Amino acid sequence: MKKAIIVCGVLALALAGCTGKAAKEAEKARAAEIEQIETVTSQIDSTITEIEEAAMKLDTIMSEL
Amino acid sequence: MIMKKISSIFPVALFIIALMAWGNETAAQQQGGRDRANKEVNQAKQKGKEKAKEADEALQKEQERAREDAQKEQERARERMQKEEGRAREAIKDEEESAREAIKDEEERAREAIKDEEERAREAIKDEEERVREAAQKEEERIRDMEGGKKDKARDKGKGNAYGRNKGGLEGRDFGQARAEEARMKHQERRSELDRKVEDSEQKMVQARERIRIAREDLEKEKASKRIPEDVYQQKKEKIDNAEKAVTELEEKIQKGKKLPGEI
Repeated sequence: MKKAIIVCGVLALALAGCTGKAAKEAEKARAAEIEQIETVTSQIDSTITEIEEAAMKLDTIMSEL
Repeated sequence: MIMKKISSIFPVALFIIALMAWGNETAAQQQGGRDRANKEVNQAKQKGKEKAKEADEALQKEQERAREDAQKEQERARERMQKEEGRAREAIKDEEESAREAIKDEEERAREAIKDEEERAREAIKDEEERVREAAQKEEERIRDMEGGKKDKARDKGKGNAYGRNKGGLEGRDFGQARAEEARMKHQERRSELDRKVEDSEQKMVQARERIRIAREDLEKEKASKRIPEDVYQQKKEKIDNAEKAVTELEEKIQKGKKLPGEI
């Protein structure tokens, strides 16, 4: 009986450990995804700024033409 | 016998004498007629000469008149040509004037469009700033509500893990999902903004290219007709080249924006 209880306890701990690890892995994957999204978003931001600057420069030159 | 012979010869001699007398008279008559004819011929010749003289004079007068007419006609043609030239010159001037006005109008329109574009961009930036400010205020209020007025410094630390952050009542997986969702939303917004900018810039680029083409053509025409000195030509050419470089630069940025991933 005791042995059975101990085995159940060990199994429960192992299951909990595995679940926790899986959750951590999922969290890591999500964090990586978020980072990737944020990286692309910041690239988009910098590209928007570059386009705005280039357009403004073109406007200035065209007004002098 | 002798008397007989005389009587037989006498009529013949008489006849011969009468014939001779008649011949002399006829000859005299003929001579008179010839003289008269000569006289008439001379008179006719004189008349002919006079007539020829008159005809010569008439011909000369006619030639003179024809020459005068030709001169007048030439004069009239010259005047007509001058008038025609004047009219053509006026027409060219009018055409040039209208072309100049059209260019001015086009420039005015382009300038207006640029102003509008700038205005729109400024408004978009303002809106964006407003949105960001409102979002920040809301977030601050939420934080204040959650922590009873305490400031959460860790919130603004940015990317990566969220250790020590205020999680807005969310835990573990839910918080992660909320963050991912927020990041995706922000990405979508920025992507839409980028698409809008790319579209606007492409239009601007097309207009600029057209204007540059027209400006280059005009400049080459002016150079060909030697209406502008070489140094002015070089200055204008440099400006056009710079404008073209700016267009190319903008095109590169647009291409870069198009290459960025839309969905992650």
